[in-house]
Amino acid sequence: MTRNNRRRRAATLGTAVLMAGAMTALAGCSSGGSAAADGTLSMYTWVSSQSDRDQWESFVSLAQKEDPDLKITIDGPNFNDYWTKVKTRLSGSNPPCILTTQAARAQELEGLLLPLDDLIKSNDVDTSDYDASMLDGMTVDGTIRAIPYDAEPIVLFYNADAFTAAGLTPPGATYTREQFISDAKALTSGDKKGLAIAPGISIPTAWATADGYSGVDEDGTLDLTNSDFVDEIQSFFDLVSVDQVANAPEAADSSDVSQAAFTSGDAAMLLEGPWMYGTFDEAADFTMGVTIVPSTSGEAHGMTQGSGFGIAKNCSDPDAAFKAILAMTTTPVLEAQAQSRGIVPSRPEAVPAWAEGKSPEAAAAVDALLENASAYITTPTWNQVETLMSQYGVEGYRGEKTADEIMDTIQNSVGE
Amino acid sequence: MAISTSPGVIASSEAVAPAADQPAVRIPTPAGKKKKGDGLTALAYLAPGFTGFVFFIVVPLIGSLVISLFEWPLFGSPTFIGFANYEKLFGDPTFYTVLLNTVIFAFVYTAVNLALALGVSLWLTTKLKFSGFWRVIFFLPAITPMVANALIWRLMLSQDGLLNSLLGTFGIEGASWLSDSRFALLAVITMSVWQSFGYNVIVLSAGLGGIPKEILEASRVDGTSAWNRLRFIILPMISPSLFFTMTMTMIGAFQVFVQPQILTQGGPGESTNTFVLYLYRNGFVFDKLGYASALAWILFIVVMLITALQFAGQKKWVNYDK
Repeated sequence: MTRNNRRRRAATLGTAVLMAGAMTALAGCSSGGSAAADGTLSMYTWVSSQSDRDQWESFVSLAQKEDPDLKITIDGPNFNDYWTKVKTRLSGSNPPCILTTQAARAQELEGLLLPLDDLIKSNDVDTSDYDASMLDGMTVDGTIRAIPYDAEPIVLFYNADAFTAAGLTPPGATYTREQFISDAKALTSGDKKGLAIAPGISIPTAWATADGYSGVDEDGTLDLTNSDFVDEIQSFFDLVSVDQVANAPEAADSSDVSQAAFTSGDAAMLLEGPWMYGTFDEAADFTMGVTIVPSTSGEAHGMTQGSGFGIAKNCSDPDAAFKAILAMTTTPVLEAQAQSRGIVPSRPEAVPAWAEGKSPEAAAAVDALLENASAYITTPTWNQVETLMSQYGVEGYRGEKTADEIMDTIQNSVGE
Repeated sequence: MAISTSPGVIASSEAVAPAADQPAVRIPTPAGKKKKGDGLTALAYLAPGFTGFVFFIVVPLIGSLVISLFEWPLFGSPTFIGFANYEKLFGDPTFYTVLLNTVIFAFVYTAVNLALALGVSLWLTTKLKFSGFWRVIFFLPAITPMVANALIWRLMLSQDGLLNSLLGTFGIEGASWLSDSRFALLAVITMSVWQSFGYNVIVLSAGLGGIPKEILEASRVDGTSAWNRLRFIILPMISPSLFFTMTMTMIGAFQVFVQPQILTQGGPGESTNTFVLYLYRNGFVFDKLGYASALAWILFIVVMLITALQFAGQKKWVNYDK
C-alpha cells in the first residue's frame, strides 16, 4: 500500500468515524407517535411500584365501564427516572400517545405535550368542572397541556395526642403563624420537635403561598428574589435557626426522613400533601389531625399539587387519546379513585368521596384550602431550582446564610 | 541498516544501496507471488477489541464533541451554537467550584488511599495469622455496590446517626458531618477511601510478594533498619505497582459521582459538588446535554493532562529493574 493510499484510507476511516459519531448524535431527532391498528393506545407514566401500576390499571378499568372498547397499555420507569426517560422515549421509535405529568412539571414537559384547547372545544368539555388552580398549573404558554385527575392542597398534619398532652387546643380550619410557632415551641422538648422539614423548594413555596406570595411572577418568569417571597423563605428557615422548633434537613434526605419523624412521634407536625393521609393514618399510633398551612392572617390559601393526563405532540391519533383521557377523568372514575387510592379529585363535585372515612376537620381543612387555591406554578428550569434549594437550603436552615443570599444565588445560577 | 526482502532473508544495506547516479533498484519478489503477511490474522484477533473500542469509545467521544457544539435538549431539535457552551462554561462560577472540589478530592483521596493501602499491605506481609482472611475483609467494600455502601454511611453520619450516638455516649456532641461545609467533603473522602482502598491493598500486596526474599534477608544481615529497608529496597521495588495504583486511583477520583450524590447531593451549598455530579445533572436533570458534553470534554482534557504528568514524572521514581 502506497503512502498516499494509506493516507486516503486513513482519511476515509476518519470521515466514517466522524459521520458515525454525528449520526449517533443526531439519532435523537426521530418522531412519529401512533396508536396501534386495533385502536390500543399506549400510556407512558411513572410506575415505581406495583401500587402505581394498580393505580393506572384501575384508571383504565374504571374508564372501561363507560367505554368497553377502550384499550390502553401502560408502560414506564420509576418516578424519578420518568422525567428524563419520557423525553428520550418520545425521541425513539413507536412513541406513546398518552403521557402523565405533574402540574409542577408541565412547564418542563412543554415541548412534549400537545396543547389541548382545540380538543377541549371540539369535545364540548366544560373546564369549570375541574379545579381552576390545577388547570392553571397545567397551562403552559396560555394553553392547557393536561387534564388533571387530582388537586391536592398541601396541608399541615399534626399529632392531636401531642397537642392534648401539651395542653394545647388543636387547630381548626384557620391557623395563624403566631399561634403555629407558639404551639410548635410548646411541642418542642429534648429530642421531640414541633415540626419536621424535608429539603427542597415545594414546601417552602406552599408556606409562601399561604400568605399569597410566589417565586414566579405573573409572566411565568422565575422571580425568587422578590422581597415578599424572600421574607417568606426566611421565616421558614427561622423555624429551625431562630425558633428551633425543627431539625435542619440534610441535603440528601428524602421525604421519608421527615415523614418517619412525624409518624414515629418525634415531630408533632408535618407539611405534606393529603395523598399521604392513608399512609400516615396507618403508620401513626396516635390520633392524627389535618389543618391548613399556617398564614399570617390565619386564613386558608392552598397551594395545589397534582397530576394529569396529556397527549404527546407526536401522537398520530390525538382525538382517540383525548377521548380516553376524558373517560379516565369522569366523576365516577375520580370518586372511585378517591375512595380506593386516597387522591383528592380534580373535579370539585367528586371531592366529598375523598372525605369519606376521614375526620371532619381534615375534610374542612382541604375544602378551605381548595376554595382559595393557587397552583404550584413553576418554570421550565424548576428542576435546577429544586436541586439548588436542596443543596443551599441546608445552610439557610442552619442560619449560615440568609434567604436573600440563597435566593440570589439560585436565581443567578439558573440564569433567568 | 538491514532491509528485509522476504522472510528469513536479510540483505546488507551495501548490497542494495543504489549508486548515486543510478535510479533505485527494487528487489522483485518471486514472480506471481504476493508478499504474504499476518495482516488478516492480526486483524481477526484485533477485531473484537477494536470494534468495541470504536463503537463504545471513539464514536461516543466524537458524538459528545459534536453535541457540545449544540444546545441539545433530550427531546426536540438541537441548535448549533458553535463554542458558546465552552464560553459559558468558563464564565460559570459553579464550574470553577466543582473543578476545585474535584481536584481537592482527587489529590487528598489518592494520597490517603495509597498511604492506607501501603500500610495495610505491609502489615499483611508480616508473619500475620489469617492474612488471607484480612485481605478479603479489606477487599469486601470494593466489591459491594457503592450506592448501598453510601446509603449505610449516610445513616451512620447523619445528625442522629450511629457516629453521633456513639460520640454521645462519651459526652461528645457530634458535628453535622454531612450538613456542615467544614466536614462534608471530608466525610465524602473518608467514605470513598474506605470503599476502595482494598483494591489497592491487593495490587500492592502482589507487588510486595514479588520482592525476592534473598534481597530482604541480605539487607537484614547487613544490619539495615526497618525504615531503611522500606525506603531503599521495598518502595523502589514496588514502585511500578505504586505507579499503577496511583494513576488508576487518580483517574477514578476525577470521576467521583455516587458518593456525593448519595451522601450530600453536592451540598451544603456547593461544598461537595463534583465535576461528574455537575455534569450528570446538567445532562439528565437540567436537560442541557450540550453543556454537559462540553463539561465532559474539559474533564477528559484535565484527566488526560494529569495522567500525562504522572507518566512524565514516573521516570524519576519508578524502577522497572529486576
